[in-house]
Amino acid sequence: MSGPNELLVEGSDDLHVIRNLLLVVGHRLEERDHKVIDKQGVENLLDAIPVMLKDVERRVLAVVLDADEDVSARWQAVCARVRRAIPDAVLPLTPDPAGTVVFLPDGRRFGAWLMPDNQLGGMLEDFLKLLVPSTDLLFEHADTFVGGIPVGARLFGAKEAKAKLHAWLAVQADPGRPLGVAVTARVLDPSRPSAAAFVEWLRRAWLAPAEG
Amino acid sequence: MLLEALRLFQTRGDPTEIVALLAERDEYRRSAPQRDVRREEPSEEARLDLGALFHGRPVELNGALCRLGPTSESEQMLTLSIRPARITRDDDGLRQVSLFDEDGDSADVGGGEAFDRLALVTTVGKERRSVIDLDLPFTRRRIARPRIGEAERRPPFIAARGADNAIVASWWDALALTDGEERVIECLKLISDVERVALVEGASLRARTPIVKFKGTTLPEPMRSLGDGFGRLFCVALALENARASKMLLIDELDNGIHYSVLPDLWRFITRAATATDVQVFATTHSWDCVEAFQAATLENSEADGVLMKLARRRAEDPVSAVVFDEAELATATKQGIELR
Repeated sequence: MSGPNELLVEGSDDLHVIRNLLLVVGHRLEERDHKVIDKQGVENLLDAIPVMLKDVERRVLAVVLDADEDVSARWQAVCARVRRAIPDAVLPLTPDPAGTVVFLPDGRRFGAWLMPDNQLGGMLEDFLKLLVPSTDLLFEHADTFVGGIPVGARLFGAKEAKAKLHAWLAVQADPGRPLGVAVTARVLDPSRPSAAAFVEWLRRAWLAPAEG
Repeated sequence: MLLEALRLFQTRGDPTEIVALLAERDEYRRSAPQRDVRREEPSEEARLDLGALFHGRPVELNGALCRLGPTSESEQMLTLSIRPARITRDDDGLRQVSLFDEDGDSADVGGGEAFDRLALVTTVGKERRSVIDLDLPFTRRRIARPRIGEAERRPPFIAARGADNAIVASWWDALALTDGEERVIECLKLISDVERVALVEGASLRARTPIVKFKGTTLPEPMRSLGDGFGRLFCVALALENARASKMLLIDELDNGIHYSVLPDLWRFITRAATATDVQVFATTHSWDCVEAFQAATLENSEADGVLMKLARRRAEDPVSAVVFDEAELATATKQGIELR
């Protein structure tokens, strides 16, 4: 018995963004075929990789996680978890800029996307910033506002990208929409190249039926 | 099938164990009466159906029916194979099974004769351990007592439907008036207020059946009237105590008849008793509740090493293979609700 193709994400924002992004490009997810699982944190997500890959009846597994400060270190962490389950798995030294898709020796498929673009450090919100419409005039204001907060008062710590994106969402026509809703409401533009690249990876890594 | 492979490996292919294993599964074939005058025992009696030992494996003459053991240590490898044979008499006129060599020529036997029967040959490494005449009619009496030195190798085995009353009785008798008896009662207290247990003759004279006396009652009750779970727990506790010699206990479908709410306590008992007696327990299940209870019990007990072995096919056409999940991985699976399909 092989169940749905599974996609692991770090949190509920990722889950809603992905679901809604696919919806606006015309792909409604059916839970029995494609399941997005919120692992509630990067550590849980990494721990789940070897356990799920060891289960040979899982034919397809994809993961979306933040690169955070160091994309190379995060990629090594992913590779180490894959090799724990499949020691002879062949993985690229650096993540594929178009999103990584590898076939394990037994023909199963594993995909990984490091937010924002598999090349830079960052998080989901850095990716979403790339979806800000080209005609937008407000992001600059959000950028200046958050950037101008003195170091001692930066309660958001390292999550500057998140603070900026939410500051920007706070001054839209319908202020304060959650990230996923901002995608369906097209406040964020799903036709931007970054969104198209991510959706294409989702299709190859996760949506496509299992081989064999 | 995994547990049966372990039984065969642990007993080094003891013929008694092979016969017992097939008999437990009612794997006989009835052959037509043989007209062949060369046969010594033409008979309509049931014979063991060896092809049923490992389902789906072709029974080929001279080929290995199965190999069991560590792939890295060939001297430990147990091999079962089918060889052509015939009956001969030794110098004292005693009947013996003689094998032909792989070309079908007479090797052990005098030249020019054809084989007229098949034998099951077990070898460990290169050493031939036993030869069983497969055409010998099967009767219950053939489940002989194991040879001295082999008995303690036989791991107690609890089938999915439970163990026979006769076996349960023998396990109970082995514990009479020992601390083991008390530990069995302690285990039963996991699910009820048991005071004492005895085995008495019931309707059948062939085997005694267990009765139970509860605290605060005057009359004992038959264990069978208390539900499947009670009998199974009794069986598991007895078998664990009787596994001290073989250091191995095999349980098929552990959770059969046991309410899921009792599983955590049952596993707690098993891990505690198994570490105290240094017994390795192999239990099979199809229930995720049972796996979760197992995980919780091994996590609690720092002395117990527990792994989950999942048997699966990668694809429908692939052979079954085993994947091992260690304690940490199993903890991740249960904590995160990753069902191992």
